Amino acid sequence: MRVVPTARIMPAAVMPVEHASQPKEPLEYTVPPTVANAPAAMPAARLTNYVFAHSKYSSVMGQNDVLNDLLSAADAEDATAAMRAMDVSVKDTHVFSMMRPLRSRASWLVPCAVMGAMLTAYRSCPGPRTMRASGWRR
Amino acid sequence: MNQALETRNYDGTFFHLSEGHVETMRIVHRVRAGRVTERLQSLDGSGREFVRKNDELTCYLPDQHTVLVEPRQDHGPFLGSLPKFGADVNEFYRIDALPNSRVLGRPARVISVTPKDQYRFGYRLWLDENTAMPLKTQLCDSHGQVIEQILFARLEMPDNIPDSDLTPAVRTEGMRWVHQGPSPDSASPQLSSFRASELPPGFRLTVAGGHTLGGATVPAAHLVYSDGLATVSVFVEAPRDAALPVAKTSPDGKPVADDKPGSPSEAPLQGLAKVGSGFAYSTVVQGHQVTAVGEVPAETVEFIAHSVKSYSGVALPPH
Repeated sequence: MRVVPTARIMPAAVMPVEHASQPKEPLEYTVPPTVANAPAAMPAARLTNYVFAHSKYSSVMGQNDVLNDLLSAADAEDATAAMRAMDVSVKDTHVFSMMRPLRSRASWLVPCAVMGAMLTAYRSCPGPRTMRASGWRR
Repeated sequence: MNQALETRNYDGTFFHLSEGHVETMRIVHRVRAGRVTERLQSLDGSGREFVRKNDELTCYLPDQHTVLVEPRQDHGPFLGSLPKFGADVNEFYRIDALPNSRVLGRPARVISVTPKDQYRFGYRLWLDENTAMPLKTQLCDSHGQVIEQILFARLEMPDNIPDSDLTPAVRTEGMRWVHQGPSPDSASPQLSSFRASELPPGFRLTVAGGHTLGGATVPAAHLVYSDGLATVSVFVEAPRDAALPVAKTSPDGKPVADDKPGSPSEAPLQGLAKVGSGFAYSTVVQGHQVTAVGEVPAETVEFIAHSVKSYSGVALPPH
């Protein structure tokens, strides 16, 4: 998992090189941004615990239950009947009709959710320091 | 052709782009006799691999010489317990069909899911016209800027996937195996009395349970709020220790940070952090550590965390 502060890192400014005899300065450096309400530094170990636990319930596409229903209701006779069954209002007709041709093929949300959950878990996988601190046991 | 993806095998290689980083991954998904096996393999750098077999997730971390094993039930009751939001989702997202395109040489249908307020992210999906598989997905902020992207470079859907394709390539000789025990399924009554008093529009409680976070001795309350697309987890933890914190110092007298969970000297977390494509926000409520985390904008986790309070002795809120 990459944990980075929300404050954007500013583009590095290039320092002019003057004389070789002068004390060596880095050729470039990053100016710490001054941001109101800058995020507090959260210990990575604890943050990882939260994200890893959350990854069970998250995904790139989230838990797309409603859209999943829209797409997987393949046996509905027509869009109107399906919408009525799902209590989808008439104003949503365009949404359903747009997706309906895909229904008979399958729900694309399943792979989205699967990949998303795996990716979230992958990103939040603790490093060695985190594991020591968080009590993973043999 | 009416084949549900729950029973479909697939094997693909994709690029995961986030925060200026690109990582190439392979995913193999097999369903055989109702049992799901998945393998996610990083083809770059670390060579990490994740393998999920039904209710167990195994993380092979060759860069750390470690294998982590954790029980997982991603397809357990949770998915089935989600409420049906119905047309509510359309109140908070606008779903549009964009002009068709092509990905991987295949005709693709493009769908845009745009949030109507600042409390959620949007999505753009490129769906294979023939299989409905997501060949390309983008997570976008409220301004339409891409935060995270997944782009398939190869995708196959074989009828059969051999065991060898689901076997990690990582050699585990000499690696340390670490097992995470099962978490108790409920928090204490006191922790379970915490709820968000207010939520961003459309968010509702979908899961209320417990989770023993690493290093903790008692389970934290784990609340999951969702608007049907985005999810936010809220963790409520009991005060770590009643004793006053003991400041640790280094030999030269400087204070030393100690973030080990459960440590008496552990200071409560406060503030915002970016995690992957989402955010986490921590605060202290009535002496309890409250942390909200999710793939949502910072405003959302901050809003939810600040609204959490104890309902001990009074009726829980309806949402």
